[in-house]
Amino acid sequence: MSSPVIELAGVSKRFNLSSSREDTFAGAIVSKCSSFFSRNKEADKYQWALKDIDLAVNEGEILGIIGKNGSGKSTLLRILSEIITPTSGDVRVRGTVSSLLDVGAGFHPDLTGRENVYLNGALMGMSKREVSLRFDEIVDFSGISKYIDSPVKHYSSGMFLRLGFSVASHLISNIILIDEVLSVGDAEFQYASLQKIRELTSSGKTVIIVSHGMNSILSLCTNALLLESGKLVANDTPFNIVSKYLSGTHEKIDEKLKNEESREFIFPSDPKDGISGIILHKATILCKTITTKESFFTDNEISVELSLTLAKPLGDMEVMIQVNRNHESPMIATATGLFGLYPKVSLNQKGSFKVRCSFPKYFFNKGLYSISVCLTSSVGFHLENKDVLRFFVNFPVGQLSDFWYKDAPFDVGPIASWEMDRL
Amino acid sequence: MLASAYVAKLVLFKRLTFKLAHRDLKVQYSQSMIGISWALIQPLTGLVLYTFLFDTVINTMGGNTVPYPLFVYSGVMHWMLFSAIVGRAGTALSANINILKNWSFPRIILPVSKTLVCLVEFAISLPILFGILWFYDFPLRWQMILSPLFVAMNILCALSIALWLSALTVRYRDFYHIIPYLVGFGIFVTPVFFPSTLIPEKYAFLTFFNPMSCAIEGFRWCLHGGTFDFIRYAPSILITLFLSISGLVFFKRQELNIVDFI
Repeated sequence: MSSPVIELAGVSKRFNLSSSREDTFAGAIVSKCSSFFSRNKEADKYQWALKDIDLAVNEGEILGIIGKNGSGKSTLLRILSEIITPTSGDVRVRGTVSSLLDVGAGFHPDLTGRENVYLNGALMGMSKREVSLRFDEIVDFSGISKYIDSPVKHYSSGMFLRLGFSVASHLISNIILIDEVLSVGDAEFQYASLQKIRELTSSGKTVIIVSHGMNSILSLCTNALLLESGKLVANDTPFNIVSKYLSGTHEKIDEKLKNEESREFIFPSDPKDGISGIILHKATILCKTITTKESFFTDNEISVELSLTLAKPLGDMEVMIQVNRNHESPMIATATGLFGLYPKVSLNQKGSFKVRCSFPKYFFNKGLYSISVCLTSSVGFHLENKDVLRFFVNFPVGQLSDFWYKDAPFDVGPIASWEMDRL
Repeated sequence: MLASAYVAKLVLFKRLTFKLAHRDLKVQYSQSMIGISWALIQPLTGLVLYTFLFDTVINTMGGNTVPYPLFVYSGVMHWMLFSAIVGRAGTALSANINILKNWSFPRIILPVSKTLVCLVEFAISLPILFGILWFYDFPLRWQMILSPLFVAMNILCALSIALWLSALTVRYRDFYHIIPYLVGFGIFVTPVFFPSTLIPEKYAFLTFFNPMSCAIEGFRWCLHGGTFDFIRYAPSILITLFLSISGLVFFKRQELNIVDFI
């Protein structure tokens, strides 16, 4: 393994939460004096955006950074690109850094795209020749060659992103930092930029990317970090980090519901939740072959089991399960009443029921799934619970060719019946 | 950062300085109808107006041998350069927040590139001076070679004030108000419209502490002679040196924390 291109040792950053009064010199003097007399706690005035970060990033790595808003992700990127200086600690960066921290940053609205490319190059310390050599490539990749000679004030934010990403990824720098901007681009460009990032790392560049899109972290990164209120919680494989991050939100829900088993969701029999006397007590994921609570493999058979109570008959009820993948729009839905495949017990009388829905092997692709439950009858919706369950599915190591699953752009990858004949 | 490493970084980014200056000029003038000739109109207006006001209306110079248009233009030119640098380089950081927040480069490039823009405009106003010299049939003097020295003194003084102000305005907004104050009142305590010889003897020593007096009077001495005493202006030269060294040190110290405050 080559030596790390980025090394952080005990890096902390403290921001001064100065009141607006302290934005003026006179105000600052007044507040200095008053704090001298009143002995205000110094700690109240500061906030640690980052605290004791130790990190080493190797050449060719794609490092993903995950964390909630305000957890210090952008501060970390800005420290790496030397825009802000850490309050304490040691930053060592080997090589040059180019960054894409904000859509259209450093673009002057009155200049043309062409002029802005050169300006961007200059902002990275490149000579005119160095930019010229790559200019055509940059414009080609951005796909906006038609507009390259019009002022960028007429550009859409997507076009800004295309050009900005193009410049950042084509100029000579061995470290590229990208802050949650790629989501502005359309699907086509997002795909192209993910491909480009992979290409860059295979040519020895190092990429650090901040994203809220778990999908891109999972499919792109070789490593990931989890930041939580300025602290580095974990540095692990993307899958483990994404799991940890999202189970963090799980734990919060569980705490609220005072559930003993983290994977089960008991909804309180609060009339607000149990509309028209229907209570969903529990939602569980069952898997015969694996004991983990929230992550599974594509070759596991996974069932969703719901326990519910009907306080009064409401006619023929149907249970519907909706599956969402990677926080995106619903992927599939399935219901008890579909195609006349009624279960043996009808939900047309009061009592407690257990409803189970099983998915075959290889039904789920790699990703994060969430399940919503919906109870309907001829009268309409009776109960709708979003994100009752969340779980991850990953590929069994070494069993399936990673190749076409790698981007995991498709929601399901079921086993179909294949036949092959030699002619 | 070590001084040598800092200089190396400046060299790496030298093109950015020109690029930003180029950008500013382009943006400033490309969308105006008569373009760069705006840079001529302002000094010309000053020339005509001040000549009318301080020569025709109030006969400032009395029996002085130097034609007033020449006298006032060299002063106005200098003051415009000074006020442009203080005004623009002094706000260079707060005017480029977007760039500062997203790119890392030696921050001193911003005020310096603004100074370059001001210099270009200064250069554009020069032909008027040559025109006046030619019009009044002034002979060439060897001292004219020294005139760039006094322009340099003006730039040094203005840029160091701008370095102080730009670093301070980012931290404390109220320093912004110093700029119009300095530029608006400064012109009356500097011999722009009148020669310093008109100042009564007991106040005259004050001019020698004013770097801009030194720059303007020295420049005039180069062009058309008269009295100029280097020794008596020593305090203003020392003040300029002090301002520039302290400005550089202060800016350099603030540079690392600028983004924290914007």
